[in-house]
Amino acid sequence: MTLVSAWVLIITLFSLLYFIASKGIAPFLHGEVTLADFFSGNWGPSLSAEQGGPQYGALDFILGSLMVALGSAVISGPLGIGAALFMTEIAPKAGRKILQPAVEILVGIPSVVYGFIGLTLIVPALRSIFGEVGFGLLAGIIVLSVMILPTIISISADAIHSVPQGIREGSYALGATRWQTISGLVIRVAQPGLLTAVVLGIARAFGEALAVQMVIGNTADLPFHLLKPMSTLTSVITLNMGNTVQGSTYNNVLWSMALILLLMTLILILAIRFIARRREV
Amino acid sequence: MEKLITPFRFQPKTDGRSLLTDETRPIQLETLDLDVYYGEKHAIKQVNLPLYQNTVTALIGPSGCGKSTFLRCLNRMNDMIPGTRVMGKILVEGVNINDSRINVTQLRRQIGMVFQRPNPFAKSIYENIVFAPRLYGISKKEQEKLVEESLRKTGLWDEVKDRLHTSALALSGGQQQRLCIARAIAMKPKIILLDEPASALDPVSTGKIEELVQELKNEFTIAIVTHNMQQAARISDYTAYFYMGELIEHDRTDVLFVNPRKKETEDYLTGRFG
Repeated sequence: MTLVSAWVLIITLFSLLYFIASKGIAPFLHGEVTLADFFSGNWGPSLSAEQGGPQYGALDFILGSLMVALGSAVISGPLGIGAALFMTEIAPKAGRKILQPAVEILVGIPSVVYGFIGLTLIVPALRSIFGEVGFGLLAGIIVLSVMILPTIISISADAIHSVPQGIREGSYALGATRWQTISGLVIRVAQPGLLTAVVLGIARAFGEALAVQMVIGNTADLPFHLLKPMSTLTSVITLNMGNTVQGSTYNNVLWSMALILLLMTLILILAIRFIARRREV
Repeated sequence: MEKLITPFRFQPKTDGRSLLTDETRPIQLETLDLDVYYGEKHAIKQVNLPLYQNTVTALIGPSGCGKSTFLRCLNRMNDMIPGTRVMGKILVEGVNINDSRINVTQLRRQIGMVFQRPNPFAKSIYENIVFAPRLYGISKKEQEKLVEESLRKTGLWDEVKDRLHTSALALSGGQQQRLCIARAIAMKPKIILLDEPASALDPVSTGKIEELVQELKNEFTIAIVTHNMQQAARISDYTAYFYMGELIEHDRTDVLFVNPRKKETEDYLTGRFG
């Protein structure tokens, strides 16, 4: 029985990989789009031939996804690890009673709710503070930071928890303070686990579609301005998947983007494996 | 069933006093009416015990008798366990260190501790020794001197001098434990507390630790918790027998093992226990 479920899982995974890859590679094989075109910043799928179109450059979106994911990790990494340290090392009682349930509730909130809150609270707030449209990179980063925070907190807390108690006792017995023990030893020993937490957070941010799409503005622009609208791979795919004809070049290019997403996630997962293996040595 | 909350009544076995009023050595540390509670559990009952300067005091007794708990009071490691109350005085050079105004980190530099399981940090041998001194500022040159000195005193120097910068976790269990002792003496403490330091080691490593303890007492005052009565007899000058949180008997080791004054002690020593 377990063997069957294992096989179902493996077969599902590989058929998914095969399906996305075959669809994603199609436009390049048929010569409709060249790789150079795809990795350029020229996006204009509805441009007519006279206007030089249609153009299918996805660079803006690839960079957009990267920027949003990394940006939210920059905010949530330190915050999440800090919260994990607090609930394991500094106030274990309050951690167990208050923070742990809070984290679990945060995990359970659907992403559309996060997006909705971002749309009604964060975007107008940014608009009134900075005077731009409000939609854009910063709004996306803020929403995603909150979304990946619980992931980072719970995995970091596990990593810190697994640091042997003897290490702490040894350090205290030598006259180290709590902070010296945490910064000099606990974080060091837990480091691979903390890195895994952040990488998983990035992976989650990278794949998130709905909430991001609601606050990011969805224009085909390079994502190098915090307050300007932009797009991510996921937002472009969700917005256009239903509006394109199956088998058309446009539709296939969306599959190519999905393939890129999948590859990036795979790379991140491999990175986690690598980190975890290094821990065992 | 009715919950039994009997008020604590101290029934003296030794009057709670050390029997060694005739001892002339100077006292390095002394507890006065020490009581420890873990929540409702009365783990240490009215213990009065001196540690004499430059001697080894062995704390023996069956599991759960409170000897480790007692040891952990002496450098305030019990502070880390929530729900623990330590009452009474612990005097070191006339200062009561069981006082909330005492700087605990400072205190622990003067009273070092080594645990049952070797707990080297996941750093190099060198880094293990300089970890704590570095927190208080120490020059590179002093560091190197300190590392050599500490390792020489623990007999590790010749074994590890060529791999000071390799991981301490690659050492054998016995070497790791000696490194932990080296780490403790690098802080130049006055007292070293050893909590069953050899119980996780093989006989050869145990022998080395015992020799080491003998040498270290020339420089430090040592208290060692041990399950092994032969070990206590071999290496200690004084022995304190604990049972159910009480100090039953405290005497010179040669006296206590040959001529115990209490029947309980004799029963324990001869294995007619329980």
